[in-house]
Amino acid sequence: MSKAGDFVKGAGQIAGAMGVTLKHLTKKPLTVEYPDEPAAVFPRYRGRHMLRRYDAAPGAELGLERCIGCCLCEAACPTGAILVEAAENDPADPHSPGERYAKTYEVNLLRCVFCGDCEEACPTEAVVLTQAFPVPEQDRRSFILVKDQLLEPPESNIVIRPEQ
Amino acid sequence: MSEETVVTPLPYSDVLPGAVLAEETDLDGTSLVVAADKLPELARHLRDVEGLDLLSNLTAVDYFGYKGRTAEDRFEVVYHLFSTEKGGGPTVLRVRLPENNPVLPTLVDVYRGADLQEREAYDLFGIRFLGHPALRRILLWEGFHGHPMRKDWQEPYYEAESKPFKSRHPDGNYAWAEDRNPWGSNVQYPDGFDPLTWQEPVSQIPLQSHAGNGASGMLKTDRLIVNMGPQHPSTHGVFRMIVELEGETIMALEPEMGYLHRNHEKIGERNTYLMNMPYTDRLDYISSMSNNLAYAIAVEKLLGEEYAPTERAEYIRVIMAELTRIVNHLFSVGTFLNDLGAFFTPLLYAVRERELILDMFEAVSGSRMMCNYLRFGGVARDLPDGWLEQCKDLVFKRLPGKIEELTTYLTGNEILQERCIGVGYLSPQDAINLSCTGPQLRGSGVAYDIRRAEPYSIYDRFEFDIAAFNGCDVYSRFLVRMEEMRQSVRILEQALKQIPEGPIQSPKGQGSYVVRPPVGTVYGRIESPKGELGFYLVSDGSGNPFRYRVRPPSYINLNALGPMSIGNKVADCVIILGGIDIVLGEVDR
Repeated sequence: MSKAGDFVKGAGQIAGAMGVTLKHLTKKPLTVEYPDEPAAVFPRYRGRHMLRRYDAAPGAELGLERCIGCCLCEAACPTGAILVEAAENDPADPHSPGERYAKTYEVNLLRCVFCGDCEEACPTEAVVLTQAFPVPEQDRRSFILVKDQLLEPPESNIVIRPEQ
Repeated sequence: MSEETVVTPLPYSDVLPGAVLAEETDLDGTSLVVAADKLPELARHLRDVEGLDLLSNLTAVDYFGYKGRTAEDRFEVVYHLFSTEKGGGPTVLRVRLPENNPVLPTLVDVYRGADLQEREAYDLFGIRFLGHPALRRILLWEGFHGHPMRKDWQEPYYEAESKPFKSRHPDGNYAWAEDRNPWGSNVQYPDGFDPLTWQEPVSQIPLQSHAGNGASGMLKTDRLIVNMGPQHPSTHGVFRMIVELEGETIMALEPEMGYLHRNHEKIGERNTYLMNMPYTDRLDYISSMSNNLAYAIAVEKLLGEEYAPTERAEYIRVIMAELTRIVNHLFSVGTFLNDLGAFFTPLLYAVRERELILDMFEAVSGSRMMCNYLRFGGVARDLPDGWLEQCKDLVFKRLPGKIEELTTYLTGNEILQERCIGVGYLSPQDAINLSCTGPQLRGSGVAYDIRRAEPYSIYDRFEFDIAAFNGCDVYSRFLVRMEEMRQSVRILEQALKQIPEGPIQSPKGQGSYVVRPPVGTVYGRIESPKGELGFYLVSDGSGNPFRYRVRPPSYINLNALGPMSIGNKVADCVIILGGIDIVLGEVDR
């Protein structure tokens, strides 16, 4: 091929390549500036744990805890991240509808792998994995979530995507 | 009728009398108990005459405390042999060894692929293979005391034989294991080992020394040993290649691994069967759904018919496995181009599509990569509403075009061809002999795909071609991956059209948290994106596996790294490694 032909062909290729580059200049970036902007997750996303309550009875401020202290989540946990200690309910002021409730409920987020097996094992749907991202902490002790922390719905800058 | 029993002669007793001691029936077929001293002869016969040319899995089992076993047959070395030509199931050989002297002859002379696996069995079980060229530790270091996979070995932070461990909260508070047992007091070294004076024996390391002439052309050059890794961007993780160079030519190459070793298999023995499911995600973390599938198939074989997955679950599994294959190959092709020097642009093209598939995984299972989605007898949750439409959109409309886009930019690319064609030559005979599987084997022209050779799940219903190219080089492996993506799209198209409605869990598997399979052993395997991923399980009837063995494809494919690299330039060993496509989570386990 002649030199001029080479030149034209090369210029055409460069123009084509620049075309691809320029086309992408006009597109919106795919990245999200989390945590300033909310991150989108799916409803099934497995994030930080939460202990759920039943709906509050009329007049009461908070509903009863769902957890009945059966320790099935502890037995199901592959990494041994969960500790449950059960105690008898006081009939006058019960924590949960059953005979027993969880006196201690701890989740060690340093061990947890967010597999969701605790959620599947729970007979009362008490422990669930919410869509919230676990928060970074400064020291190791803070990664062990105690029951009071778990009963509060976690806060996280996320939006939940529609199911599809 | 007479009560006379016809004594059928043991297999191969006519050619090698005394080699096979007994024939045993197990949950997934028969196996042969072999006399240790006759093993190499028998293996040679099986390879040359019976056509069992692929030594796929070699592992050991410690039957310490197992019912019916004594010190005389405490150890067992298990070999799974396959035929790449005929396909079909395995021929299983078992060699029983006594407690006090577990020694047997090596099979490296017959199957060179036994090399890494024998070293692993030596490392973790202390079984010695006589005649092995370099029987050294491989996953652990030389200063490690004991052989951790033995049943009577306990780790320094030992808690209990099986989970859940109750010892972590002695008085209600969390007890950090290292406070209870501080570092230093738990360290034990083998006899005569001094960590302060110990030096890694570099000089003994190169194995496959090449008979170089010591001179290249006019110049006389010294041989030089170079460490590539463990912190080297080309090694895809913490992996080390010890390279012996003459000038720029590789004379010998030795892979060193184990930096990410966590004894996955020992952890697996402490877990119940279901607890292992999230752990398998972390083997080959690029393709977790495939790992789930392999493990589920192995355990379902163990559990029997009642746990056979339902129709819909089978389809979901196939869809997930094939999406995983696309994910893996996209990533593999992208990082491979990175190794070649096309820094990140092709990778980002690939990762963009991968991200869309990972979104599909997240919508189904709740996690992009660590899916933990499959269960014994089905899957964890049904597909969400509208998922299939979304998936069809992706598979029918988007992916084929994007794969073609990658092909346009890459396959015909002159620089890529210059770098890849003819590099990392591996002949078909060598590929089989070195126990290679997956794209590595098919890139050498051997059309061996487990989905066809021994169909599992419902792969026998789909139409697809085995992607095989006979260039025997890195370029062929690259082409195999591109073609496999197209074939995966083809399978997905069929599966997405045919998927029926129905339950996603077999009735027995529903909510069964602890499964107690019958006593026995099984080997379940699938064609994972990287090669043959197998799980060898031994059950003693309890809720925990007695032995849980992973047959990791990328670890065993590394057998070929040295032989492939010799004679190439040092820059080429990077792309040869990239062509194998290893994931260190699986190599080191």
